[in-house]
Amino acid sequence: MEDKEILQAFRVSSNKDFAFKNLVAEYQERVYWHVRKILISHDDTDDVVQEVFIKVYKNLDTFREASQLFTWIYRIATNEALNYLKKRQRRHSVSIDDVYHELENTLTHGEQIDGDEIQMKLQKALVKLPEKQRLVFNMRYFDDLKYDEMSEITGTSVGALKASYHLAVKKVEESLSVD
Amino acid sequence: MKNKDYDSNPLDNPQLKKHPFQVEAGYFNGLSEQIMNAIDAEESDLKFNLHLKKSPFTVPDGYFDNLSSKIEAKLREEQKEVKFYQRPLSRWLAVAASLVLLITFYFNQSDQAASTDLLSSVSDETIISFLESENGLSDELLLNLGEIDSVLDAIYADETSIFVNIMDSNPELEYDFEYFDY
Repeated sequence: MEDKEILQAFRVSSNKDFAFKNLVAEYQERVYWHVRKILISHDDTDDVVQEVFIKVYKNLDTFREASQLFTWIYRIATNEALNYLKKRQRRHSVSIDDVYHELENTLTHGEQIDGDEIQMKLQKALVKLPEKQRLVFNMRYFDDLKYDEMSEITGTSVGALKASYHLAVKKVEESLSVD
Repeated sequence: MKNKDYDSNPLDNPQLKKHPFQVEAGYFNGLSEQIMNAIDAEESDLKFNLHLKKSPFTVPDGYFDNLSSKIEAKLREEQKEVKFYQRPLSRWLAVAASLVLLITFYFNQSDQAASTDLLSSVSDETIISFLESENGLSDELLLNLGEIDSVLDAIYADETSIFVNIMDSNPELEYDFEYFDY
């Protein structure tokens, strides 16, 4: 089902559930991998992905088609994932550095992770980046998103995103070159 | 006469075995060294090592087959909860209870010691969960207003403000940044 058809069907109450099922089927994997790269843990990602789609369901009526549906969903997913990290920080009364340390720990000891040495080195370099740079790097490097799309998702200018990506690449390359 | 021989099978023409491509003089002399350098650089090379683009993360077997039904079940659960709060009686009871609490709080305000005691009797977990539920509510309201913007921009401001200022005021520098565009 095309995005337009999903949106049209969602507006008719008798088709709402059918349209939503199609939306979830279409976007569940992209949303999952986007959130997983931010949260690292599968269990945390599972919780957040469910919340993301519930928010999508509740707010889809208000979606103005000025942006693409997928950038709107990515925006919600990004928001939810970052808020999840913030909530964890508040709940455990720890600094954001501790949260990053926890992410690194999950990378080393967590389940559902099966990378070789260089892939893990890259992921460990990424969790050390500031949130925004990590986000930008993930969207550009792994998801091959265009800067325009990333700009819609984050509400940040294309120039700023390029600068963020440039800085992230420099830091990651430095980390990868260290033995 | 010769051409006639190839009419039956054109691929027998030996000229076809010769390719038209050329390389610069000495190209093959340095090729093996170049390949070895590429192999050395390959592993940590973000641009050329495509292996790095593969995610090391996995999901349990059949995870995506069941995700959709998990989401639907959770949604139905939430809708039930919302329906309870949407009942007019529940809503008025909630307003009345809030008013009683407000009035009680107002009259107790003068007695600082008593208030402190009252607050100290509330566990940290209760306060945290209250604040989180408040935050959850505002998250929903702010969904389209972009709370994410302020979070991201604050981090961004620390990290990249110099680059952005330079790029915004000198668009001709765009080319230099495109160089790093993988």
